[in-house]
Amino acid sequence: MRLTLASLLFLAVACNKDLLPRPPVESRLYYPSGVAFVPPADLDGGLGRLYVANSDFDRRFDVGWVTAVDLSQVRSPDGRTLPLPGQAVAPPPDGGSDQGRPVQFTNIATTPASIVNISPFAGLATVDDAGTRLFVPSRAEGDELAVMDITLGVDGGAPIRCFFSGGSDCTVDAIQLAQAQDPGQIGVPAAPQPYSVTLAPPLPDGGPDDRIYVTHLRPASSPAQSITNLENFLVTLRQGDLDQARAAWATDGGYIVPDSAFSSIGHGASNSIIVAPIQRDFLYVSGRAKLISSDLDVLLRVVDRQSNLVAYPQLQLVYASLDARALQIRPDGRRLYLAADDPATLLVLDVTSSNLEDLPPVFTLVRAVPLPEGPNDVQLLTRPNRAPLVVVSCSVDGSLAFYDDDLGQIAALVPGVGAVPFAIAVDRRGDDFARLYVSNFGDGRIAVVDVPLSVDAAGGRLSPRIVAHVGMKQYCVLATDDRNCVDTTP
Amino acid sequence: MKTRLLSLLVVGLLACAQSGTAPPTRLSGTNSSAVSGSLLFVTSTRSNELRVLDLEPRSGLARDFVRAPNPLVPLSITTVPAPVEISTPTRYAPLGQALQGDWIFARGAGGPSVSVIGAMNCPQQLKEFGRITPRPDSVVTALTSRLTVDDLQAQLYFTTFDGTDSTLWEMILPNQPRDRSVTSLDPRHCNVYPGQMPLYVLQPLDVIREEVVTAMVALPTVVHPAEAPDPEERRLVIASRLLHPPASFTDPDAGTAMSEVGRIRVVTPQPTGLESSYEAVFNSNTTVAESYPVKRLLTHGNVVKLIAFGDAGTVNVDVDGGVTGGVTDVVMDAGTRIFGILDEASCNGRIDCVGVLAVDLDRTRALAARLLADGGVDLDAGTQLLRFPVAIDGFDDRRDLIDDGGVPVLVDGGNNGATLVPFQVADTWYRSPATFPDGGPRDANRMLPIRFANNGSVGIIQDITIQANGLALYFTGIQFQYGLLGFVSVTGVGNSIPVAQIFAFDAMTLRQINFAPNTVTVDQFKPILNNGATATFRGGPQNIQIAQGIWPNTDGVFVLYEGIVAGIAGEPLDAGLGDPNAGTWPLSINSRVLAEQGFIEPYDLVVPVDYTGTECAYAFPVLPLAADGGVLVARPGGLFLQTRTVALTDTLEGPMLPDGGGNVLVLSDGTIPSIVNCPPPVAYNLRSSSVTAHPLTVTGQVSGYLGRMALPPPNGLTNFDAGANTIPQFIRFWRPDADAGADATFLTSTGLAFTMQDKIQYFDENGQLVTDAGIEPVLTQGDQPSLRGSGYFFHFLNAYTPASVPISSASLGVAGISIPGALALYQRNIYPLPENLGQDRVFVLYPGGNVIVDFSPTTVSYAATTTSDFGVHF
Repeated sequence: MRLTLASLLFLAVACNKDLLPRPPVESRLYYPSGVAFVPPADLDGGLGRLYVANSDFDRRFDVGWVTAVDLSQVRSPDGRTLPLPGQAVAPPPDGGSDQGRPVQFTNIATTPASIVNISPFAGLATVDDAGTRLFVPSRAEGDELAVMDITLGVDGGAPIRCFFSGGSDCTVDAIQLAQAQDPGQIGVPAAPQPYSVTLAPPLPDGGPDDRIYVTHLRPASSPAQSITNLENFLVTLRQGDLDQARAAWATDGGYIVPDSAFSSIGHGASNSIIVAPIQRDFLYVSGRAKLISSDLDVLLRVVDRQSNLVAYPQLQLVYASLDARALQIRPDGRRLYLAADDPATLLVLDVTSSNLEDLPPVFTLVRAVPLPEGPNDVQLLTRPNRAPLVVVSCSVDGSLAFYDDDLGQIAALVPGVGAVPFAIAVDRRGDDFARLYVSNFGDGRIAVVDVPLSVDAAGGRLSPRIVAHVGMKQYCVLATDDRNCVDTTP
Repeated sequence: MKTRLLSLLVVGLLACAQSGTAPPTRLSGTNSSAVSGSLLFVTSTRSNELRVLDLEPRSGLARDFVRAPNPLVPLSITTVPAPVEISTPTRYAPLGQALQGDWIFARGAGGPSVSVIGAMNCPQQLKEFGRITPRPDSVVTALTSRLTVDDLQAQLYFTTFDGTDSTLWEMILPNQPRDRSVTSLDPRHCNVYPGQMPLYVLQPLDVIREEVVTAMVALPTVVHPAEAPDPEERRLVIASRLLHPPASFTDPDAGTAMSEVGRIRVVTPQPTGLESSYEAVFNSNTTVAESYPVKRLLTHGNVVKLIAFGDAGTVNVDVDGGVTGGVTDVVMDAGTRIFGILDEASCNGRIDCVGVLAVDLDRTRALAARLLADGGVDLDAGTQLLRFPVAIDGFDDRRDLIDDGGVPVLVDGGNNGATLVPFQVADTWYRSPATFPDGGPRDANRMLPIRFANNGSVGIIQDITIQANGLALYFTGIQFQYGLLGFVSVTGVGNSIPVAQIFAFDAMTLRQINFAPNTVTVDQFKPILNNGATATFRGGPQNIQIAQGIWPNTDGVFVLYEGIVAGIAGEPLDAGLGDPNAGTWPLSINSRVLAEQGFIEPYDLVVPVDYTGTECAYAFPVLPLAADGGVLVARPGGLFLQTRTVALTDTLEGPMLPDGGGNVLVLSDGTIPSIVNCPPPVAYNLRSSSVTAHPLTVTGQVSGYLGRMALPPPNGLTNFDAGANTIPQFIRFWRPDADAGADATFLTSTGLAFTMQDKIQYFDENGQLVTDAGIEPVLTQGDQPSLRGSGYFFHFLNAYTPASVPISSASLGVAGISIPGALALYQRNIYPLPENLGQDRVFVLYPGGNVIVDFSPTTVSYAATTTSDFGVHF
């Protein structure tokens, strides 16, 4: 009896205790998902900025956040700086050697002004070509798209502030993409669990195109919460509309997405979008599992940008996978690379444009290249006088796979990138080297990988190497719950 | 470690015999496999290791993974990172059986090294002995290996690519002779096998400039039954892709859409480098000297026909190929034929440049070179180069019957014996000649020897395996023997019937094997009403012809009055597009495609459909108002169909007027109904009409919309055909037996054909010749709402069922059986004999589920899904 009373008292005390605020921590990355790179103003000398979405995947903190990192300021514990792409890290000042291992740049040189709050479960991060706007969708309740202003000020550094409010809490002004999914609502149109953003390139005539495309993973129910009439939507926003909303923020509040911004793309999650090169008349949308077996498969969908009508190439008839992730296309638009899972494969598809105007192209599967487990992000690295390299982050395997279209197979595999390499941002300044920034979702760091691309860079040999990791590993946070802990293991 | 044998008979044994709970294998990345003796080596790419399946467990036990020294876990053999291809040194016994050596070699994805692994089931052997890394800055792109005929030497060949050039390497390792009458190793002999890396020789053989080697095969030494072996074979076949093919060769005007160029060298390593023989050409165009790139090469053992003496009892064979109770006839020497899987990426996956092609290395032919040294293209093809040409597909599977004196037996070929022809018998062994009777090489069947599934739309080809003298169970229950029996795995299911991704093919005559039990037959014909009931219409399609090997499906065909055009039914009126009341009708993207392809004709009918799905009683002709005289009219928001707003009459008064007028329906009360008289539409159907050029629609139950045809003129007829020149297109994918030996030029390219006649004649039950209507007149009139979609129906059997192995996760009850990958063949006995039913096995890797499935060519049902005698291992 005494023990029971004591237990009850203890329970009562526990129930009365208010939870302490757990704000984001600016000095480390935490379950980084999206990563975006902004080149420096001086392409010959600077390192640029990195924007990392911290997804707060276990909700250890009150919110997720985005960290702005000035790469020229990050430091290793012994004070070394990150080298320019293609260059070696300076040797340790004590005269020792890194023994070929990637150097850990644990000091990301951030301040409270380097972060803004967003919702947890962030997806991929996208930055515009001018390096002024950053888009990060989040899959937590609220289904928000956070937009950030990252315009470089006169004082340099790595600026970041919420686009509409100008503040640092972007959960306040984020765009809600699934309000129709609120209880009691009609349910559609809505885009629950937004995942990625694609910005339209300029029009074929060089004119600006301000369209913003958003994918989402969970289908919308109609009515809301009913799990019936499931449907996925393509969300098309306009930069101009966002500008207007920003100007009216003080009086009108947040930007409300009009129903006209949603167009149905059938049954099944959309993962990533690319805009067809050259004519730019279609969107190629990769997708994950279709909802019911009788549906047309959604590994790839083609959306007419004029009418939003959808065509289904039905890749599953020729490759019986269910789950496609990111995709890329050659600049000439004639070959598309699509990462598929189960089995982990890079699908290489030839794209044949229709002779008839406005008709979608035909896709022909020409290679299915086995990949390490967990393919997720895909980036394309063009090379002078060679077929492009396609780099795939393999999250389960912890590696990067480099597919060479000249070889028709994996030309290089970089293991040990980190735990769950997820998204890839590319710093590409010339023909010789590309630098990849890879978010290691599982260990809380960004891997820095240099890829020689030209004969001048590496005698024509493909020898990508991990240069460094940026940020502190997050394992000790999980073990100790100490936000400031330092994991000293290699 | 779980192994599930699905044979019901064996399940019981399994349950009794399995000792303890099988530990999980954690296979992850089953991308490549190789049989060596009685072991199957399988990659686990993600975990950088191989696992080993013991194919000959102790009596009463199921096949299981070899266990580690701690028997609670399966054995793991560490390899280079991410192993994706393995090879074992191989030679062929006199009767065609593949015999392996003591080693397994593995290369990794994007890696510079090759793992050398002991392959014998001995404690000191199943491990990685070492890694060979001759160029740390390069990537190993291909490997192959050979065993000398005396078993004493294993030869590994591999290529490295440094970003610009390829280097061919040779590694020579010692090998131990062993008893070849069995595939397993007697453990008492384990002591002769090394426990560490033996001395070896590694040397570069040559550099191939600006090419990537994509596949290789080491040709085997030929040993005839009961004879001394031929001189030791040294040749290699090396497939490469040019890094910088001549740009102009991609020009469609060059006569080919090849976008990448390959070279297939047949070389003999010499101290001074590679000595080249003629190159081989893998190209569906049999007249040109250029080859497509090839992604996989393999060859075969001796093709040996075992002919039993008439009075013989049991036929016995021995390890040297000696036979008691019969004689042997070597039809083709080991290594004569090279099979190559074309790299689908070399020509946009076009159907006539994908597939499995074969080249015979004992036949050369002068072929026309189109690529010039300066990078140009010679369209006139004046330069003749001697090449090993591609073998022409199965155009002769028949053989003359020879009498005792060696003279062909002749039979009556017509004209009451005035013409005698050789008496021929079916012979699946026969080696097809390289030329047609007139001596010229031909582009036979557009020259795709083996096109899988019914229509070829199956994705890409993953792997093939070939068994010399293989037996396969025919649908009659008899085991048929093939000179070379092949199996292939493909990534998609396409439209294959039954649904399958593994197909068997006759690699000797280079044809797929047909398991249809019937010939082409029209088995049903009837006039029908639109509700499916049988009608009493006179006439209907006549002279129905179906070409075997073109039509992909057994099918039913509707020939309909006011049929749905191109499947355009329930076309939605959403998003506020169009203005139905004004006769403006929106089109979905798919329907717009169909319209641009010409499926919609002027004066086809738009029939509004209300929210209950009911058609309006009135139909409205589509007007040809586009600038080009077509039916797609540009309006704000896109392209639309424009109809007139007043309905078509039920009884035609004549042709439509140029302005779309005429044949206007006037009701009995004098009113002229228009679109507004229909219930508010939410969609519309598009139907053909008797005032169009082609009023009758033709639609297959399986094959979908096939086209349309005109009404027969008075006392005349009209034709319908679907084939190589129609949309949809139906091209020949299989050569039926009846056409074997014929020039492809004379094969029909029409898959389905029939006529509609104004008048038909037939004999009635009294034997009187009757002349009657060839089409019921009411089916040639204006809009009769009650008859829309009525007409005629016939059903036919297409007489083609590709020999396939239809399995799935559902049929086997195991997850992850979605995309088959690598294949491996296990032949336990010296020669395939019917009494060894079920012993030879084909192992299929499924990397999606990390599952291995095995079946026997002699027990599997090739024409229907079955679950018996499958092994599942994971």
